Amino acid sequence: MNENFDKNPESDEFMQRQDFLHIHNSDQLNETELFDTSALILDVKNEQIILKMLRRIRTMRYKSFYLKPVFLAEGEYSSEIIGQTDGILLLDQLPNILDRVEKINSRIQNIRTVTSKYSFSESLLVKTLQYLYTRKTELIPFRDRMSALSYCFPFLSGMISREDQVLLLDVLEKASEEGLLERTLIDRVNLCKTCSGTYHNFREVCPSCGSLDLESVDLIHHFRCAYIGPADDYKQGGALICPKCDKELRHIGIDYDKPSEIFNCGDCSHQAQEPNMRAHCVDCGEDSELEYLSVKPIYRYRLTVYGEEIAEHGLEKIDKDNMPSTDDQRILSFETWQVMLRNEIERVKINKSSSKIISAKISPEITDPMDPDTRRDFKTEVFRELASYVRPVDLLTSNSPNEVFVLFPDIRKKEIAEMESVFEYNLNKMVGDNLGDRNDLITIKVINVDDNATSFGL
Amino acid sequence: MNPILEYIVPEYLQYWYYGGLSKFSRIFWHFLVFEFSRYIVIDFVVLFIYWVGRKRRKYDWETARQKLFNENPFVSIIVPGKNEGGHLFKLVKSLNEQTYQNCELIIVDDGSNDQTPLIGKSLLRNGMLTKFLRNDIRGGKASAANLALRFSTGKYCVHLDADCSFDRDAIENVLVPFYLDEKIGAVGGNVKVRDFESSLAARLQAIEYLKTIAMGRTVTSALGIYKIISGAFGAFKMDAVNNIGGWDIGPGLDGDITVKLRKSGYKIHFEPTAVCLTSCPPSFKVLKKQRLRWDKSIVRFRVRKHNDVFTPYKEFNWLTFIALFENVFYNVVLNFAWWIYFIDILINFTGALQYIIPMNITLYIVAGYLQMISLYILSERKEEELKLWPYVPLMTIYTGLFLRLVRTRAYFDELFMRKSYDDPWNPVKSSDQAKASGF
Repeated sequence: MNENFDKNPESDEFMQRQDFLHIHNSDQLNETELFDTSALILDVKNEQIILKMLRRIRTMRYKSFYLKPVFLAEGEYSSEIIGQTDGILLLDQLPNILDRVEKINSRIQNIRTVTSKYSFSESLLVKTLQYLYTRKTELIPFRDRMSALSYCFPFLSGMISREDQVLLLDVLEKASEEGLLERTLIDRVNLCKTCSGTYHNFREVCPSCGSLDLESVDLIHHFRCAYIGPADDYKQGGALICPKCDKELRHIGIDYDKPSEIFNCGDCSHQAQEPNMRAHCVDCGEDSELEYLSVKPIYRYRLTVYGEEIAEHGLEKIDKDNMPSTDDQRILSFETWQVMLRNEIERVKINKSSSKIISAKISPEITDPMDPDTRRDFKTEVFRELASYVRPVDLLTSNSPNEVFVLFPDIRKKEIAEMESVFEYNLNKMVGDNLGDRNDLITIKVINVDDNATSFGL
Repeated sequence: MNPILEYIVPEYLQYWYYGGLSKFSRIFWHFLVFEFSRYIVIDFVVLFIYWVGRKRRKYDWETARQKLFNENPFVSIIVPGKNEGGHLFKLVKSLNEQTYQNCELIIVDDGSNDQTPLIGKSLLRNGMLTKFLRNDIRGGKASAANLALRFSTGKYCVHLDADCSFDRDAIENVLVPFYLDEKIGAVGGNVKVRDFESSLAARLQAIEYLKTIAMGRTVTSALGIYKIISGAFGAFKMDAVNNIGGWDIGPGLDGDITVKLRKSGYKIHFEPTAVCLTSCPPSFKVLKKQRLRWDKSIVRFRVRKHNDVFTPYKEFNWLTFIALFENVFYNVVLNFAWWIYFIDILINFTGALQYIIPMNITLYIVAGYLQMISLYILSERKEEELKLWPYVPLMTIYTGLFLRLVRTRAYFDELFMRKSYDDPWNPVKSSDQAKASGF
């Protein structure tokens, strides 16, 4: 703990304060100044300075500082600046804002500070989860022309420089793979192979010499004699005269048409119908063919129950296998189960046998309200229930808090259909006691064991 | 006749033995005058002379081949077509194997509505084509060929169909004749059926192609009256084809351009060693459609468009006159003459039909096998083509009945209704203009 503090910044007393601190310059952003405040109002017009201030706040050591609600004083700001903060402080909305600040600070109390043991990317990840947890919001990227990615993520983008924004995608992808975040695709961006920039000038160039000096000319087809050539072949004075049969072309659609066009290169005289398309990076000047641009998907993210757990307790809480402890040897860690699945795929190919996987998904409506211990107990119960119906050779696993997979080697159609209905009936019965007659809480899916099985995220 | 022979020899042969030559020639005059004399006697005489001159020809060939490789002219291979994407990769692979390589490959997609544009662009990106040109609006095969011609830069132009593949020396062999005689303006390749074992229709067409192309065109080329370069495989001197304005609206544009070249004073040569394998209609139903189109074009182009070759016009040429006369006479005139012959036999020899029909079939089968023997001697694919021999007897029905009926209908349709202008093979806009202009 910083010895300059005479009070513990993690204490309840600190969190109870509702003092808003007006910040006019960077010098005010020291931990002593921030100590007694429940939110900050940045009263600075220069957006560059605001960004620097935000980065400084978000990279502070303590949760009560780096997660502190930050507002902008009334004024005009770019969407990027607004997105990095908790909004503009409008006096007519003050009661709502006060209420929000109180809630945010109250949630901040529930979580652990990111420790110095974390790597930079781990710290980015946990801070992001904590931000989503304390703000009870989704991470929705917004378009930003100044960002290297063309998109900025609220809170998260403020922590790293514009050039390194692409690193965020890796962090968020990993978080999704581990089940901490759920994602929805909203866009794809093309990154420069040299600088990862997304600002490109797309240009048509000569496929032979790469020159930009291209001129497009219509091709004209004379119906009568089947001659076809560039419009220049026909032009004589103001008229169009066919070079093959010397007839005048008077009426488009009756005498002639223009079935396509062709490009003439002013540098090398090459003629082509399909000029090459190249992307010229505005940031670094790299000129690349389109296939060499790296395509990155942009998603919006929602915190999962598991993610909330990590936001509260830190990465130490990550249950790598997400599996209940059991002596049943048919219940495997997800990694081990994946190995068995790959073997099974190969075996099925050789033996031409029929193996299946059943995926049983339980609605988050059931698991989300549970506290972590109850959730774990519930999952153990689900495993026990399913294990009681399957054969000694069938293998069970899970890779998320509310989905279980069962691998059925060599199973007949009739048997798998029976198993599907048994799973559905019993899981519905398990959850139905509390939630009435709803039948949309359990989703059972049968997947063939073949090369496509791995594309189901298995 | 010896009593033992009488016992052995079929009754219908005995009938002709006792009937004598006068009766035989009275009944089979059509066969003897027009078919035996033309397709057996003349063909065999010419082929014999051709065979005798093989050493001299081999020497001339080697000299011409040397000239070709010394000059190493740039050649434009052009492939116009619609919805031919599925054939393109195989075609390109076949051309990559060629012994003559100083070529550009230009493919024209004439308004395809399948995957052809994607396949063509992909081949272009991978450097397997020189140019891939596309007309978003279909203009017909002639305009597609002319578009390729417009952007060709070679000294020679080789026109191919996309569904063909080629012997490794096919391009070389189709170019060599240009160095045998500088008056040669175009060379036709030898088109054979690739998938002839796929159906009966394909087998019969394979035999027909051998007789009419491999043998028939070798003979007409030797006589100087060769008149059709197949669209599937033909080579042209670029300046010659440009001078005549390229291809005119089809159907039958391959025969049309050949006649145009002949009329411009160029010699046309058929090269049997330049072998191209093509797909043929797999069923008689599809074949009928193809032949109706081809046969209509004989009336449209030979009888109408190029009828000036039969009159003493400025560029009158006896060989061109004979070439087209033979074509029109044997196809159109004799087709109708055969029906007169048929009625004559039905009316005057009703009681002898049980002897006439088997004899007629026997004559055609024997003639068919005689032709197959000469083809066997000349062929570079002896073993494969032997597989066609059992089907030669069926050619009597195929050519004598099926093709004759199709041809008769086509001639009627074209002579009296000008049906070729309604053929969907050409876009309506082009057919309308061609009809209005009298092409």
